Amino acid sequence: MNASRLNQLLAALFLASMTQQAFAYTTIKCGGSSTKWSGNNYTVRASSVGFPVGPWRDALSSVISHWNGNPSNLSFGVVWNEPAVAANNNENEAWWEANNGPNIGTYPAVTYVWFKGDCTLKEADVIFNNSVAFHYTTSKTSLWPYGGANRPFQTTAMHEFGHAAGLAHTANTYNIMGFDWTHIHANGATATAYSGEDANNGLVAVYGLWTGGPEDLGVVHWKHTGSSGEYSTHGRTRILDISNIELTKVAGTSEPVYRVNKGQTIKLELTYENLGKTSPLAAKVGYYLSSNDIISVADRFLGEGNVTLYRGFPDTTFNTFLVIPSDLVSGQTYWVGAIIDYNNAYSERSETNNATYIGIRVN
Amino acid sequence: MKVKTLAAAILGLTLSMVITSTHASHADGTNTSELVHNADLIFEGKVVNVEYRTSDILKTDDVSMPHTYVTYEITRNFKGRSSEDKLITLRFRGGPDDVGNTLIIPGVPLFQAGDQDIVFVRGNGVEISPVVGGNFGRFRISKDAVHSDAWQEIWLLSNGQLDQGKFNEEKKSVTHRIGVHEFTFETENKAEWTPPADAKKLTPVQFRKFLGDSVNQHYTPQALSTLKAARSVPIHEQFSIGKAKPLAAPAVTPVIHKLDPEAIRPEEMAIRKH
Repeated sequence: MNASRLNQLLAALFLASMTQQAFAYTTIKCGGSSTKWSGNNYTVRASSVGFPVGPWRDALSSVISHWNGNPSNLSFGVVWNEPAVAANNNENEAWWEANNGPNIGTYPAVTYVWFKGDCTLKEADVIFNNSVAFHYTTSKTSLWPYGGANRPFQTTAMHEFGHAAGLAHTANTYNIMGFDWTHIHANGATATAYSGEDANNGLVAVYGLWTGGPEDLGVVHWKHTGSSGEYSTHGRTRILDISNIELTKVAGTSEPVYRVNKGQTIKLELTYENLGKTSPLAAKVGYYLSSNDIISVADRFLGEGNVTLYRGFPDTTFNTFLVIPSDLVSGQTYWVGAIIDYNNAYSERSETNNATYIGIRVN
Repeated sequence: MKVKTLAAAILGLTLSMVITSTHASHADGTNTSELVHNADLIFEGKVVNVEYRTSDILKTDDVSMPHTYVTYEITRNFKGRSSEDKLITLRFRGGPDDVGNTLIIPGVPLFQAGDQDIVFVRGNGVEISPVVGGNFGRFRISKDAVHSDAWQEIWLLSNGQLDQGKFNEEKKSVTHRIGVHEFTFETENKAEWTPPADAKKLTPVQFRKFLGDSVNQHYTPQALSTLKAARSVPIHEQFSIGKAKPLAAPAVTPVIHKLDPEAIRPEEMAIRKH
């Protein structure tokens, strides 16, 4: 039996049973009901000085767009060039302040959530601290989670707009309402912020399901590792041996690179998410070996698995057995990874979040 | 300056820089040393009063902003002291305003009369939240247990750091009265937490001892005695909040900018839903 055939059997055998309906998002109730926007819309007016035409505006636009694609009835919008922002002026606004500014204090970002007397949301202002090393770039090597010097603006904005939508912090699962900068998707050189399964599910719980909404599946190399106060903490997923022992990592690399042997059976740990409207959703996952950190269907196919994902609790699993091909070059770095819905069975809101990788170095 | 104090000062400076760069509303993780060093005052006490008032309009461009005043009766000081000795009133941004609205800022802790806590205080009257790390520096004390502000068990790891453990199952739904309204934070906890090897769940007695030892490791009795008293902020004291001063985004090294392929033009957003 060749390695590819064996991989297909192993992956299919161990991935079929990912079915959880749990959730962890935190919502706020007042007067017996979840607090929400009465018109099922949150539109923010972005400061003209903080978000002029250019990369910061594009970054904020991408965050609003991502949130707008959530599978709940809550829509998001933005109006540019707001000339005068203020807290408690009955307008939702976003702006930057200097450290110790009147509304930001020393926080890197903050959301002022105002409730009316009837408990509906009145106003939500999002303020960013321009003394923090934020960057709009999606180039992963510039960003904290991949060893760079900058905090990804888009993940923090994604977190704050989650508050604006009515979500509170969450500590007990991989989610954007915890530590935001390690809730991010990467395949290749680009790292992209996203709202995530748990927060999307929280909005569905509060605002109801958008029946005309899109499907969206994703896979990331991040997972829940614990909590820090009311925030979840996240770390990289791993490669294990068949005894569930994490393999040795190559020292001195900016991202994890695991040492593997030719012909070795490994267990690949990744987090699979159902971000769209249909729950549960069954999908095929293709596993690949690549000579670079971009996993695509053009790479070497290792096998196939099946997942059934509920929109509720991000599924981190290492029940994926893969055999390292014996014809790889010793001392060379490769990347193994997954593509969810690799056969394109679903038309998705985004196809760019369907693949991710982990590095390996062949002994 | 004693070597111990100098070392503490250098460490404190270093840690302050770390805090400044990573702190969040989003408050980021704060370890034990950071908590101890960044606190002007560490005390144990009981909330005896919670009051609300909006900031004053002293200048034409001031804004009226709701605040919550939390008064503790102090039973023990671990570091520093209050300007009011056995009482301290802490001022937090948020609460009910004068026209029936309520402001909640995620990451700023909420209090009820009767809460028994150990609190790490910094910048009272200046910071949005005078608790170190937003809410990291608030530990709930009950007869047999210590919990975080978010009702997680407090564990001591073998490396001397504190960690948060399981959530208190009885606190999956936590209700806070803010003015005339009750706000309930509901979460479903399905995550399992396994304590690391050699970690131990702290009782209040053990936590107090750990905290006392931590303070004594970094400060001589002389250094502690010379700390300036943390200011209690009385509710009648005038204060104002200036209007927002929107600024430009940080100046950053430009990168080759590629439009996010998922980005949708604003005019398209209106037709995506409804």
